[in-house]
Amino acid sequence: MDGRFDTRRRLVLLTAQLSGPTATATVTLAVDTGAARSVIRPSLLLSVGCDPSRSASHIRVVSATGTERAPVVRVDHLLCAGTQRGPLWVAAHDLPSRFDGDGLLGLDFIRPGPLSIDFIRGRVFFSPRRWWRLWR
Amino acid sequence: MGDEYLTMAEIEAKYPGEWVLLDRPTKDRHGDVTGGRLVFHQADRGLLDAELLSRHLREFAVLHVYDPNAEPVYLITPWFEEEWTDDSTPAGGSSSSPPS
Repeated sequence: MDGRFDTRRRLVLLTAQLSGPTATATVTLAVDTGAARSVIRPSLLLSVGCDPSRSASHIRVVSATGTERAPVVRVDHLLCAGTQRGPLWVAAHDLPSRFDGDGLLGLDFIRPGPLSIDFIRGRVFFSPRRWWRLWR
Repeated sequence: MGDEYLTMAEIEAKYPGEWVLLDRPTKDRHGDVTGGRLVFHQADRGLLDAELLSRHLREFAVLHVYDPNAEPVYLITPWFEEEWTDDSTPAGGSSSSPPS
């Protein structure tokens, strides 16, 4: 959960800790700078006590196959690559079953800080690297 | 399945290409999963979700075991449009709504 990822995989998949009112889950999320909001499979959200069917807020999700309405639910916090954000509002939306992750880590998680991805060593950093702090 | 404890190395050797559900996963100092009690394993994500919802685990891990021989999958990012609420409350307008 320190931002290491498997460089053999085609996507940047990170281990994250998802915390809700009733449980804590270790999940795998794909870093996706093309997603404005983080997305997590509804089954996982329900399993940590965040029931998407009780959400009063929704967003419209447009994908290659059409437009759908997705509930937005509040999770207590999401911890990934040493960075914790929360409470965080994530979209509950099913992803293709053949996608080997549990969701997408979107710009709502990434944007408050810098993002650096080291594809050689397989590391993601959401906090300023030491050289960046010195340079600034 | 007897909820047997397995290390990640054992899981990777036994279940390539499958989803695994671990109860009370053990972790290293970085927080990465090193093993756990194997509750369920299945190639079909839908079946794992059904099993996950039938149990009420307090601390668990869902992992997909890497399979080098698997056919690559390409994911197209969904695009999110404007937010709204069922009760017509502007998004971000109350503590029960997400920020815009």
